[in-house]
Amino acid sequence: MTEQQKWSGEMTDEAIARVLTTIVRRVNGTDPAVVTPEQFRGDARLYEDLDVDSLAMVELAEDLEDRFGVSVEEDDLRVLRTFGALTEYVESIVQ
Amino acid sequence: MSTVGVVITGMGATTPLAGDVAGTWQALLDGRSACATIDADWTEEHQLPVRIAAALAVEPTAALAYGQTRRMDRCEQVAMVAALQAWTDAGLGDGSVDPRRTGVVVGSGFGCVQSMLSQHEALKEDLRSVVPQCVPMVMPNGPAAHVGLALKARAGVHAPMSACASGAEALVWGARMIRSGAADVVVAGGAEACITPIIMAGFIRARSMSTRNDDPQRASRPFDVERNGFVLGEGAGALVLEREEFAAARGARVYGRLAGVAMNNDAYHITAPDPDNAGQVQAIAAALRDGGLSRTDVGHVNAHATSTRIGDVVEAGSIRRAFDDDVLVTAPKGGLGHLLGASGAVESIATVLSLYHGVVPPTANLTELDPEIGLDVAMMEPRKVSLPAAINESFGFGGHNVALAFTVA
Repeated sequence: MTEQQKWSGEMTDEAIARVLTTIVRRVNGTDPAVVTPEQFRGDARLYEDLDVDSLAMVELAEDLEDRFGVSVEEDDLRVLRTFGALTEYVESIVQ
Repeated sequence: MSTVGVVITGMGATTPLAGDVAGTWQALLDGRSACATIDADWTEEHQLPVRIAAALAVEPTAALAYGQTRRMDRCEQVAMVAALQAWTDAGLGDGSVDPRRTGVVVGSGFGCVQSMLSQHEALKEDLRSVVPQCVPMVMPNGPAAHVGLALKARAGVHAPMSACASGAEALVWGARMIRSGAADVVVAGGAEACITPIIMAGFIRARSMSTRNDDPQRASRPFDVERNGFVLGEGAGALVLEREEFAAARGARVYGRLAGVAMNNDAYHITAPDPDNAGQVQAIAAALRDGGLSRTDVGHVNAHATSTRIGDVVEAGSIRRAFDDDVLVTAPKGGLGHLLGASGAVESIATVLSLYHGVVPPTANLTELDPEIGLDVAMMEPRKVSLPAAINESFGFGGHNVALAFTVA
C-alpha cells in the first residue's frame, strides 16, 4: 500500500467531500481559487448545476484514481446524478 | 446585386497592437508597430534565422473566465475574445435576436495548431496525459464552434479555411447567409494563433519571412523599397453583420455596410500569386458589381500587402488595373504583422473605421515607396478620405482571392 492510499483510507467524509470539491472544480473549469461552497450542496446536479460533462467525467474518474489510489469504473460514475451521490460513491470505495 | 442590405453593427478584435478595436485603431493611426523579438528560447534552440513576431498585446486569458480557457486552444480563445467583444458592441447581449436566426462564421489559416502540438507531446508521455477534450481543442472548426456555442447560433456555424484569406472569406459567407434569408445576424471573422517553431520554420523554408532580427519594429514594411518578407502575428477580429431592416427595427448603431462581396481562385500555383493578377482584378470588379458600385465610388483600398518582394508588387498591379492610381491605399500589416487567417477580419474592421471616421491610417514603416508600386499609399501620417466606398483585399496560399466592398452607413 502506498503512502497516499494509507493516508486516503483515514480520511473523514468531510475531508473526502473537500477533496471532491477541488477535483470537480478542476474538471468543470471553475477557477479553483474562487471558493463558493454553496455550489457543492449534496443535491447539486453534476451535469446541470456543476457542468461536469461527459468529457469532464473522464477526467474526474482519472483524478479520483490518482488522488485516492483506487480503481474507478467510469460506468459507475456515469449513473451518479448529484454531488451527494458522488461523495457517497467515493466514500464507499475508499473506506 | 442583392436587395437585402447587410450592415455592420458590432466589431471586436484582439491584436498585437491592443486587446480591443479602439486601441488597435489608435495604434494604426499612430503608425505603431507591434513586431518584437520572440520572448522564448525555441528560436535559439532550433537555430531559426527569424527571431521576431507580433505577439498579442493582451493575453486571451485576461479577457475570458478560467473555465472558458482551460480546455480551449489559443486560437479558440482569441476567436472568443473578438466575438464576445463584437456581440457586446452590437448591443446583442440582451437576447434581442432569436438563436435560430443567428449564425457564426469564423475562419482560420492553421486552426488549433498549438494544442495539436502540445497534445502530441503529451501522448509521448502516455495516453492518459492526452486530455479527454483533445479533439475539440484541435479540430479546425473549434474556434467557430466555441463562438457558436457561446452565442447559441443555431442558424449555422461555419469555418472556412483559405489560408490568409480565411477571415475575409468568413465575411463573404456571413453576408451570403443574411442575403439568402438563413440568418438575421451573423458574427463573422477570423482567428489565428500559431507562433510556434514548426509554423515559423515552414514559412522560413518558403523564404516568406523578414529576417530583420536586429530591427523588429521596422521589419514589416509593406510597399517599402527595403521590404524583405512578412512578420508572423496572432490575433482575431469579428464583425457583427446584420440584415439592414433587422438592425433598423432594433435601433442598432450602424458602422457601415458590407455592400459587395466576391471571391475566386487563381488556379495558378499553390503559393505564388498569378503574376498576371487577373484573379485579383476580377475579384475587385465582382465585389463592386455585387454591391452596385462603380470604380469611381471607391476612394480607398485596404491592401493585403504582406511586405514580401513579389506579393506587394503583384497586388499593386491589380489595384492599378482596377482603379488606376485614383485610390488612397494603406497596408495595416506594417503595424500588425501578418495575422494570417485573422488578417482579413481585422483589416476589414480598419476599413470600416476608415469610412466611418473619414481617415486612412498610414502604412507603418513605409518610408520610401518602392517605385514599382506606383500607387498613392498613405505613409507617415493619417490621410482624410471622403468617397463613400472602400475595398478590403485578402489573398491566401492556395490561390484564394477575396474582395470586400464596404460603404458608409
